[in-house]
Amino acid sequence: MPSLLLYSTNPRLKLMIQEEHRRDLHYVWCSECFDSALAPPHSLRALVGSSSNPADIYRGLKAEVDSADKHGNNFTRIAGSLSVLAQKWYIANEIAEHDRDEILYMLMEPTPRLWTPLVYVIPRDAVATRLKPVHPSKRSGTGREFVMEDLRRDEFDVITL
Amino acid sequence: MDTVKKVTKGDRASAIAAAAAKLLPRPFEDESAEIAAVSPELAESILKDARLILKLLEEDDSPEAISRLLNYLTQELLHEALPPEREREARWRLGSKGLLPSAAYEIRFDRRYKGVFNLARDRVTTAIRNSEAHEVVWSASDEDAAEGKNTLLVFTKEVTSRNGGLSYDLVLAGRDRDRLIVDGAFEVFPAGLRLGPYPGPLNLFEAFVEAFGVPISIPGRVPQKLILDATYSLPPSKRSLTDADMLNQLAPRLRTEAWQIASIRISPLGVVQVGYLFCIDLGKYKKSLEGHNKMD
Repeated sequence: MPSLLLYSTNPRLKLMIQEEHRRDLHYVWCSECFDSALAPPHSLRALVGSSSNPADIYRGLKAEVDSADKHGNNFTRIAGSLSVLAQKWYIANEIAEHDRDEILYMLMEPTPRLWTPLVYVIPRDAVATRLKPVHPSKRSGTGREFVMEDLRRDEFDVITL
Repeated sequence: MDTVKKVTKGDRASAIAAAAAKLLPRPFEDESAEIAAVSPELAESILKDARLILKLLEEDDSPEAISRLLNYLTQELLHEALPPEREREARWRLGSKGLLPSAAYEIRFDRRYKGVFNLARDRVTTAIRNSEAHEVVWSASDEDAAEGKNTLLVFTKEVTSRNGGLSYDLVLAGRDRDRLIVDGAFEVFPAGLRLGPYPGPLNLFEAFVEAFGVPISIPGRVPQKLILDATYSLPPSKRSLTDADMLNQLAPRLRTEAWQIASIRISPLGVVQVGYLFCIDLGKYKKSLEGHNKMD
């Protein structure tokens, strides 16, 4: 039975960038449970790998924020990804040069508050037709993962733990 | 990096981004993070340069090596795309929009601060940088900002007083691009204030003004302690008044010391637009502090 909710962990900075510079449409990678380690053993939900497990991403990023570790794996990966995307969006004329500059500035001056991890809680029903299953070759494990390319802000709630 | 130096200046950021995209563990946020305009050979060549600089073997694909490479290329991309002038402009824009974290703003003090307020500047700075929350009291339009009128913010920070009771440092500051200019700061004790169950900065500020403010009369309105967004017309004989004159006329006359603050615009046709206006009876406030044994 499909889960009622989907979960995704993202830093506050990403939420801000999507709100301010991507017309409040959010690109999220999501899973069917918050913590695959707590899912029933042998279920598909338990087989989501650590690098896609929202709980592990949350804990990892929070530890890096708490210890002000600007070279942590999560921090490096997300900062790298967002800087590449800012340049890509700019080259593709999807954002203006000043938008790109503002995104890059926020990455250049990392302040802990902007990197606070947030959990997106997404009621599945409202977005079911737009959910894209991630190809098995790109999953972190054998458990199901999904991508939403155009999640609206009124389609998910944001919580911190 | 030698390869990057050979690329036209305007294309360097894209070239570095293309190289960095190859290191992302999977297309992390986007199925097509590759930069279309950059050839795979150029991206590979930049990666080789980066490995040389970081003294990493070509076959070293360990998570540590990938992380170091990605971090290096990200810094190079930021450096290339955001020279100091563009960086400063981006900071100003983010600051004006209120998108910089409190800790990132430059904090200055209004010249009137000294001599009126007792809270030490270090303590006020801490209250802003480590505030539990801040809220907008009044938001300046672009037109207001062009005339030097700033958005007014209120910051609050919980403080445990010497006798173990709870108080708040309440700071009022105008936001001017990437600077916060502190207008006033008060230590506020919640006892006796009309507060909600979970008072936010605005609730605390309004309750404080209700307790220590002085009613102000402006034409067409009943006297109020906090005036926000009010408009009225001046008779022709008074149209040459400046906003400072107007503030003097509106400020209540008190026997004790007072502190008033306002954002007022007067149009050539004599329309007065009051953004915000309030006046704190400092005599009454200081007396209440004495009651809390807080006077230095």
